[in-house]
Amino acid sequence: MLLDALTVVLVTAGCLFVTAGTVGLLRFPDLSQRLHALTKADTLGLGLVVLGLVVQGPGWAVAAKLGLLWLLALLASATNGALLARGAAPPPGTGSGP
Amino acid sequence: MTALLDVLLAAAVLVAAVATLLAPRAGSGVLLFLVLGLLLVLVWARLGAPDVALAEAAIASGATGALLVSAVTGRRPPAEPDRARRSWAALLPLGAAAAAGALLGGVLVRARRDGAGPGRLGDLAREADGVVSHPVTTVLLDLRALDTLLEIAVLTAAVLAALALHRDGTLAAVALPADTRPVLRGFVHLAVPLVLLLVGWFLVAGSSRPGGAFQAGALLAGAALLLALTGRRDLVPTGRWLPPAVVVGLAGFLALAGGTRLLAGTWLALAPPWGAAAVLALEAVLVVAIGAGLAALVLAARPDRRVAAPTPPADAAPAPDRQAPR
Repeated sequence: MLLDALTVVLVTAGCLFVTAGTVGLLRFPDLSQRLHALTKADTLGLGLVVLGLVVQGPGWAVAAKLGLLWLLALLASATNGALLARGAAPPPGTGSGP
Repeated sequence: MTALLDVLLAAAVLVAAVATLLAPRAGSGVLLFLVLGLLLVLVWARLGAPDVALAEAAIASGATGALLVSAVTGRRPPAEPDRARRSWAALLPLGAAAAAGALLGGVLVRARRDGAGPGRLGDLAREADGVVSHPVTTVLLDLRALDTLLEIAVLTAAVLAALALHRDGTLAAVALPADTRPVLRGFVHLAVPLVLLLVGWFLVAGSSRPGGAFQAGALLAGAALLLALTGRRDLVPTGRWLPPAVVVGLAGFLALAGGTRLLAGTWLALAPPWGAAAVLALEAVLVVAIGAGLAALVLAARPDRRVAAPTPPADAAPAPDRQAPR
């Protein structure tokens, strides 16, 4: 019962963060602010949802898989954010830019 | 509660589909198509069809999305020459989609009504004493192996046609701008081994649970593209090893068909003692062929370098001959 309540709280908080990230994506004026809202808030929201699911006690294997999923999403989100931000700024051609 | 979520999901699919068709710019349309693919993955997962969800995610959304993105970003046509016409032109596909949807709905309703009898493919697959235990793989490579063979033939022909537009029929001359930003390279170093691990897992898992050659092949194509676009095209066959890699799937399939005809007497008849191994071996070559083919399709959208010299001179006086071998 307590764990269920904890799950509800965590998943709700996660959904709020994801929604906040989406609102930021839609409302912020320029690309870097939008990316900031999206990558940070969404990743945190996903982490909270994952945590809320892990609390339900599905076993260590599932918990580890969910944790790995979150780590992968973290990696992909950070990489995508960096790529989009650098792609918007005029890059100095190929090769390692300054 | 769950029904409400399902209805919302279905409505979101319809909205995304219409928005994809009506998007004013091609770029927005492609992005909306990716969103549509994601929603379809959720729909298939909700319907309890993880095989289709995986295929949708890997091929219909992933590989096709990569093709569309590369087509949209590769060339910059004049932006909006005919916006007024576009909204009208969009009505035609919408009408066609509505008509096709109505027809398909009729077919599905009737199939649902008459479906109680014996002989449905799903029941056949479950009851068939297939050489592999997963019913979807049983359908694809045992009961309906000829259909899969023809699908592979179509894919192979499409890839070879795309390659034929390039010099020597390979992608060796295609200019690939290498994106070597450290963030991206670090990501690729982490992601590619994971993706290859998944490819192997899908390949061996396909016999007993969701997975299989098509999903694994699409993932392999993704890994190859990641490598080729981040300056490691030496790890990806783009030269003379590309056509053999593309053809090996169809060749393996045909070899299996001929072998079963000669040894067992029937085309593509798989029997228990060696059937499972044959399916796995066939899927392994299919993974290579599908991966190489899908990656080649994406890369073939880029033009050849003008000068074919292996080390292009910096002051390249452009050779006047435009008669590349067609």
